[in-house]
Amino acid sequence: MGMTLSEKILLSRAEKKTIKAGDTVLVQVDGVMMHDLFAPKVREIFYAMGFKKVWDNERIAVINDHLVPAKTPDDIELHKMGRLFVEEQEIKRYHPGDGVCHILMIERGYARPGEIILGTDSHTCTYGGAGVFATGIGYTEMAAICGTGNIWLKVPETIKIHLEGYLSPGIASKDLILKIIGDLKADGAIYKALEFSGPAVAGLSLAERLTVSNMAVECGAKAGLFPADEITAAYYSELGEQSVAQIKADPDAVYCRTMHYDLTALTPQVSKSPNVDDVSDIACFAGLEIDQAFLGSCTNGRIDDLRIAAKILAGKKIHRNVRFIVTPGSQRIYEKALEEGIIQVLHESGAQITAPGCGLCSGILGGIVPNGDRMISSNNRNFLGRLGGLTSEIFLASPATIAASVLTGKITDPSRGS
Amino acid sequence: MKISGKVFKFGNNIDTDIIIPTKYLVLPSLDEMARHIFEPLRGENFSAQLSPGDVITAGKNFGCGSSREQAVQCITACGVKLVIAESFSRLFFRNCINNGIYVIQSPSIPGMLSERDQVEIDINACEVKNITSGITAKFEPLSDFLYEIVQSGNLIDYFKTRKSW
Repeated sequence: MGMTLSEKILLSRAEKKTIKAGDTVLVQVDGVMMHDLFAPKVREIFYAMGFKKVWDNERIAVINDHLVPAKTPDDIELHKMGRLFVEEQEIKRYHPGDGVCHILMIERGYARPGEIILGTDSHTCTYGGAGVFATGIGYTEMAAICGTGNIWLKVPETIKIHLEGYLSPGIASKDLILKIIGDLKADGAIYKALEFSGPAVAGLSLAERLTVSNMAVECGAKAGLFPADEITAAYYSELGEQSVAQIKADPDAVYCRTMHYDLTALTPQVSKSPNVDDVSDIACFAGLEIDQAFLGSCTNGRIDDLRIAAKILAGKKIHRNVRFIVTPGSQRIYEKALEEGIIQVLHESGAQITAPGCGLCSGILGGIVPNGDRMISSNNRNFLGRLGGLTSEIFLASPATIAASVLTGKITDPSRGS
Repeated sequence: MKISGKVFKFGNNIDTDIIIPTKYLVLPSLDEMARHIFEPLRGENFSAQLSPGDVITAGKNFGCGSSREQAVQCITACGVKLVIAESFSRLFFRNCINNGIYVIQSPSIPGMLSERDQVEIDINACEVKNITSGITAKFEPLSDFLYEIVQSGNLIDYFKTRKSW
């Protein structure tokens, strides 16, 4: 019987001859990631469990991003404890503050096709865009992996998402994943994996795929996997990795459900707080005034996203009533945006450009949205009160929709031209 | 093992930002964090209403959103050792097991429980008894492997004695 992408990857790391959806298997982990909020707890629990040395100091990443730049002295204490763990265990992949964890994991080649990666963050599923089986866990389990290199995982059933057509101008892969979440709802893929396939996959860049996989967890999915193909291989080859696996599902793999999407027919989508799955065509909300806009996060903080915004904003000024916050996903993205003149364009348009990190998406750093204000945002969550006041209103949308909206001061369809 | 207490009932898609908002994650102790449990929905003093043995029940997708294990640990810090929901986010489910919380997943049991009902749960007999209404129901037990972790108290104690999975 054929295997899904998840089954193939999990089998390759399990001491088993066959596996199928529903089995619980102990697997060898290829790498882990922990961020600043939880690294101190991982350290404390690791030693409390009786472990002395991590299983592999070259496969562990410790990344400061949720509290960068720190807001309080307590934040720095967390960073110090994380650094202590790095020093005690001689952990190689240490990033004291140069980008969002999920962006760095792909940018630095820490997560590679065909691998199993676990992270102390629910958006670890992002790496599925590069054909990595990646998902989030708590800090207690992270400590157990650091000690053993293993974790038990239930082999998920898979929902196949068959994609056809091409994205039209002004339409992004963000619109696709918002549409899928609106259809599946917040619990539609609990305990399951999503697997993206079909002719349209070859037309999506790695960055576009990462945006889609990033939000798989918003419909409850354990992982959101794209095949690793020529596009994936070309990306890793640029990083100097010549031998990454190309991996796809078997043609006769068994799926619990198949959904079809035609990218050509897709329109801009928005998700209205407080539920990510409350998704509508932008026409339902176009014209609503906005107070703030955010471009950044592990969903849409990549150079491709900044380029889209700069193209729309070049030579123009944002609406005077709008606060527009732009947070590049990493220092390298920031540097590239400087080189390409993107930072200058955004700056001249009136954007407030902040240091790389999770920014306001973590709900604790600059740009918090007050009660009664409305924000349009490129991130992945708009839960009740997450980004500020309990009566703030957050619309999730694509970078193009955000850029078009900051110009008019209203929610604006970027595919309609101006 | 038997657990008895009052029921506190929540709806669908209760996310971990609601159980413990991000801004409280930097507080130095779990007890301080736990004072803010469910604050966005239930206001500032909800934790004072919870007593050891009480049970939290919810609808679909309980604990969705962020991986923050503090959401589960704040629940245990309030003395709650058992949660019942129609379905759970997988991350929250794992975090419950790893912190010694017994998890009952049932499409029907949350519907037979109301806020402040008195309940008794017999884990060995796989039975939930609603003392207030008199209704009883059976549930699917956890697998032996997961129950072993729950019975250890938490994953830390599990590893202290076993050293490996």
